[in-house]
Amino acid sequence: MTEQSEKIIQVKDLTGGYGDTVILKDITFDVYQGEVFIILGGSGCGKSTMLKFMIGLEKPFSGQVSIDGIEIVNASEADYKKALRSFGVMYQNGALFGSMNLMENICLVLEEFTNLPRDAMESIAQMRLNQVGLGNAADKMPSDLSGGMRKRAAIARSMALDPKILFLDEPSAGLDPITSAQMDELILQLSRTLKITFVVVTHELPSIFTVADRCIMLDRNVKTIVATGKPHELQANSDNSWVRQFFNREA
Amino acid sequence: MTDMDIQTTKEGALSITLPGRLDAACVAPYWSSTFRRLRQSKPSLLTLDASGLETVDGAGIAFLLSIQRWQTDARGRFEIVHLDPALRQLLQTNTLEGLVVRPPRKTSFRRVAEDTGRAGYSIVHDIKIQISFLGELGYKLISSMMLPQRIRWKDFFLLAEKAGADAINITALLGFLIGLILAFQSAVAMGQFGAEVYVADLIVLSMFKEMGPLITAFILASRSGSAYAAEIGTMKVNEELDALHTFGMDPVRFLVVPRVLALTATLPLLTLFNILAALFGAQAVMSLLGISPVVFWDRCRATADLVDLFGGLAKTLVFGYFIAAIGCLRGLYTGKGASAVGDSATRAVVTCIVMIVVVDGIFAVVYYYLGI
Ligand SMILES: Nc1ncnc2c1ncn2[C@@H]1O[C@H](COP(=O)(O)OP(=O)(O)O)[C@@H](O)[C@H]1O
Ligand SMILES: [Mg+2]
Repeated sequence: MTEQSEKIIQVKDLTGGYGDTVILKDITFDVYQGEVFIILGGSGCGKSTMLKFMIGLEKPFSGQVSIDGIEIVNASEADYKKALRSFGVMYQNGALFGSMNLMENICLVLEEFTNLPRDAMESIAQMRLNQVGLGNAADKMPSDLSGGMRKRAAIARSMALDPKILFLDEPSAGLDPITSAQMDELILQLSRTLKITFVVVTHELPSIFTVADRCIMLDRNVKTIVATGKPHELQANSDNSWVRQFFNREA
Repeated sequence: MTDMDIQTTKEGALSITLPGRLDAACVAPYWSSTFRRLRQSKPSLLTLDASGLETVDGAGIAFLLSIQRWQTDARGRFEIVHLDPALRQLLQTNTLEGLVVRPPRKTSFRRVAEDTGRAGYSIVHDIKIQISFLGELGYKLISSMMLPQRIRWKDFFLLAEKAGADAINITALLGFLIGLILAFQSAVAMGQFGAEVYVADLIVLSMFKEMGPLITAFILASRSGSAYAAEIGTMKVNEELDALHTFGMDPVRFLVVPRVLALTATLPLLTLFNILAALFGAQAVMSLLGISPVVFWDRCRATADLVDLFGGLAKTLVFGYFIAAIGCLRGLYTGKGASAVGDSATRAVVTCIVMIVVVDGIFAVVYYYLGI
């Protein structure tokens, strides 16, 4: 699918970090419409940071990011607001609003951007919760949920405004293998049925092989991309032995 | 078991015979003596003889690696002879690369000077942040007022209930006790002149103008100011603020504006309760001293002046604004890590109290010139 479809995210010559510390340098890659794109790499190599640059939460030192045709890095407020409508984000630990139940969490977002009547909003929220398999947890508080449920609820919330792109930060980290497999299943299902483009940060091999169309691999020492491609190709014939080793670990 | 032995073999060369044991328990004295010797003689070739070496642990390996590193930095040669193959492998799998070299200790004068400078800089920086935040907040507050339907009134009422209604008990209790104490203290002094009845004047004046607003503001700073810092700080640590941001919701409009409005609205009302309770406290003492309630309240009414009362209440509007703003600011600037939220809450209370006193001082000067 990737060959014909268009580029929905473009990252070009991006270098950035915190303070004077460079965390990532010379990053260039594209994400195509409709694919599941994976950013992988060890802990602390800058995956979350990469995500923050892409969604405009942090500003890189140099380079460009465009999402759905909108320049993110130096966007005007109006352009950025427009870009925000095209994507949703699931943060590493969900970031659900702790003082509200799941239904209110989703309705809050709808309230902000639409002027639907309350029961329309609740129906949409309920539909989103059903989509992630949390149909009967609408009135639960985030603190009463397990880690996996919280992450799914966060996905439901990030889908509230029908985004074209979903960014997921470590959706299966800290989950048991079964829940983690369910998460992969959910990603695949949403990708097939709703044609959402996914950018997923992860380091779980099984999940990479299950969901990924393409991936890039970051490395903490060289601070840049060490491999790009389909996981099976990288496993078979990456020119970097360390990358081959990583992909063959489980096999 | 052999002990360590250091010898100069020939010109510029040093040979160290390693002891049988190099572990955490015994490496310390070797460490200092070896490095002292290395610094003195700066050998061009350093040979470690490991023939007697039997036990090595992490500390021992770190010792050997440190020597190696020292020698490399000094551009001398380094070799270990008669090393057991297993130990050699252990040594090779460990490395000291990336070890932070501690900068030389500064003299205490330089340290003090540097620390003072740094502290001064961070205070200035902090004040800059506060001023720009208060400015931003003022702007957003006004633009929110222009579009009142955009204000989150549901949050406002909940917050006002929490900061106001839930604090009535403690505010009234404290007011009552302060009134009691003030009346008792001043009655003792005034009693010497037979002027107990004028205690009422003193209580009314001091409570209306200073004590009432200040005490209530302090209560609110420690109850709500710290709570706001902790709430918003927790949201920050939980990435909830990031989530708000990527949903296009401005945290200032969304979290700070309702809180500022809530405290600005509730602080004057709480102050009224506080003052009223203080008068009752004072009346209780007066009754014990044999002055009838009728006389006491009559004196109060004679002294009580609306200008004083509203002068005091006007201050509390400003106090309320600052307490909420500073609490939220500290929350928004919460750092990373487990103790960050606690630090923010503490700093919120401290900054609030300083700010309250400063603002109170400014009001005193302004009122003086206005003749209030
Ligand atoms: N807000 C921050 N300020 C300073 N350094 C940070 C901040 N966030 C992350 N870092 C540093 O950036 C590096 C990459 O972090 P991160 O992107 O979270 O890694 P990953 O998500 O791949 O585990 C880490 O070394 C981390 O300490
Ligand atoms: Mg991360």
